[in-house]
Amino acid sequence: MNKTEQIREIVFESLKKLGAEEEIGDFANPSMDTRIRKHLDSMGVVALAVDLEELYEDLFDSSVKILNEEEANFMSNFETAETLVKYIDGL
Amino acid sequence: MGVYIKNVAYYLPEVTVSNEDLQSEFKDRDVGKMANKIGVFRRHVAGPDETALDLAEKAAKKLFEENDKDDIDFVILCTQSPDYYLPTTACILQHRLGISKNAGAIDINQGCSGFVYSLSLAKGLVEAGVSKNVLLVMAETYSKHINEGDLGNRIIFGDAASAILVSHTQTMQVGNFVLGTDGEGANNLIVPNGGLRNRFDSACEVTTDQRNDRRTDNDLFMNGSEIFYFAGKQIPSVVEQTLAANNLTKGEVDFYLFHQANKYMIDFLAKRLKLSADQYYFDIEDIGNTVSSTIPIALKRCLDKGIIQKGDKVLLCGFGVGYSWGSVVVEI
Repeated sequence: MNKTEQIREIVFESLKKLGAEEEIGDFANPSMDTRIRKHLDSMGVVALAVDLEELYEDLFDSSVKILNEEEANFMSNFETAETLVKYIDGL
Repeated sequence: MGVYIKNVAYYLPEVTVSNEDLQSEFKDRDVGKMANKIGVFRRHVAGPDETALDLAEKAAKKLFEENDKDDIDFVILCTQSPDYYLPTTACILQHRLGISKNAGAIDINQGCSGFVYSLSLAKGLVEAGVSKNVLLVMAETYSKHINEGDLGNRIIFGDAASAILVSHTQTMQVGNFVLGTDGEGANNLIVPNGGLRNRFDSACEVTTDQRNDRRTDNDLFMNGSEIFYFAGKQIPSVVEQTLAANNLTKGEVDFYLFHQANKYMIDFLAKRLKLSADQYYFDIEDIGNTVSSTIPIALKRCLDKGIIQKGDKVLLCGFGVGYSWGSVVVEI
């Protein structure tokens, strides 16, 4: 798997986990079209970001800061799984 | 020399604000939905003429129903709602309570980590032989810092005071501490005006955020997402450090008492630490987040309910404004 595919896998893994905890059916079998933002409030976004940062660090042995509210249009990165994978891949 | 928590008491102001009260004020907001996530359904608030000092006095008097005030030789009062710039609230409290004039008395300014910080200072005083019986008082009236139009914060916070006797006589033994600070987060939980950098400004602008919460720079501002992010990232490693500092494994700690920030955050931390529901506590439905008093109140309630018992090792962990964090293990 290349890096983008690895990031896709951790995004899916994290969505499944969060979906089970928060009872969000759309996260049970995520695809790149899965809409994220519409299901999460700000705390949910933070919870997802914290989990993803840990998975990313475990996978790539380097740290990443996914939550960056100072960035313009930050929340648009969480619209779908696809936008989130692209965003993390570009960090 | 061992240092021990001998007793805990707390006081809640008489006035309460229910979620129904808030809903009637904020008709266009869904208070119930917010409350379910936060886990607070009612909170106590100080009256217009009731200050942190008044709450502190009442909490200490409850403590003295079972402990002799004449034994107190040091007072540490933790508040971010002092009656005055000077003198310290602790000095006035000493006089009100009739504590010996030979006792030391200081205020410390800390928020949600304040109890653990105060406990660490008390332990130092007792171990150094400066003091034998330290009265810790956590007293906070954040309601006075919060704009009436700021539902987001009004729903979370409640006012309270707690009083804790720290002593050289054997009761609940205080272990080793982990303390930390990251001032880069200072602006994420702040009352910008009212100090000497930015004076209180009666004409300052009222702003409304995207959630429709209103505030001015004279009021408390909290960036909840950033605070949650800080806690979610920082606290699991603080817990690991505290276990190491006390030569314990996670399984050897019987119970975890975190600062009772809100339900979502505490459940999130528990999940990250892989704690089962019977290993941690959340109980602020009827009182709200009382800042530095959340841990002492939770400790008292757990003791009264028999949730934690003699011989249990309990990890206490406070975190928040500053950013600041502190953690310790106590053996009941």
